[in-house]
Amino acid sequence: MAVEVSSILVSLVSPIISGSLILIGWKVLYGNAKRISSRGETQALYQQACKLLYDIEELSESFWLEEKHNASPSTFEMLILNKIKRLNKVITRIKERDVNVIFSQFLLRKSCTLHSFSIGSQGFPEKRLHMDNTHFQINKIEQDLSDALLVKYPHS
Amino acid sequence: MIYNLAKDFSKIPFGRHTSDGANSAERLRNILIPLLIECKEKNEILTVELDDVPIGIPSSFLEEGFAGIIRNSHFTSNDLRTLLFLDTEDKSYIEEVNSYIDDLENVK
Repeated sequence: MAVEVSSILVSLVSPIISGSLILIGWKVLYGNAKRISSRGETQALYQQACKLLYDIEELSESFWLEEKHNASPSTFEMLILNKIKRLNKVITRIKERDVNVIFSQFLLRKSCTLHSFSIGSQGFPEKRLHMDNTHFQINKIEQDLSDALLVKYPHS
Repeated sequence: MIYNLAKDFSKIPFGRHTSDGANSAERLRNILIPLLIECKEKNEILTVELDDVPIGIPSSFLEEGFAGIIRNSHFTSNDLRTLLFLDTEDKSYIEEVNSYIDDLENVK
């Protein structure tokens, strides 16, 4: 009788343990896949942000250094504001993924548009100074984004 | 007292001076100064609503339109902080205008 009970127990334990191991393994695999997918999505948002920063840089260089839109600074401002608005939305989505990044929309907007209506009265040294300031802000944002992503997803 | 920038002024505010265009900061300032005087007399706050401007507001306009009030009237930085309230979801506008007001703090 005792032997029968123990053999029943043994025959039950093995599948229970196997089943549990399968469940644990599945859970680990699922969790990893989810993390990799989430990292991939965040990386895609980061690429979008970098593309928008590049667009802002190009627009600014054309305006300050190549005289594009100089006859209509409002056109330049409108294009820049649109890019900055979209950049802000992308960075907000990155932040929602627990990536702790600091982004000052105001400093970027200021570097691009504070002096745009004075373009006609400014010499090359002043224009270059404004462009340098814009470069500084863009490089800072890119670096801050990159650093924040590295904290969230450290290299293994 | 409430003033909606998009509805009461323009949905496309650009430029510092009237020579820059029809919807310049100088024109806004010429509207806001009398309103601020009235608010001061009545002990009220002038609320300027910014969020209905679809594209966004450039820094040249913000600086000339709001901080420019200090340069072009008898209002001081403290007066502006007391009398003017910017109503917006985008706190970067408030941060920006405050920075321009602070820059003029020691000038007047």
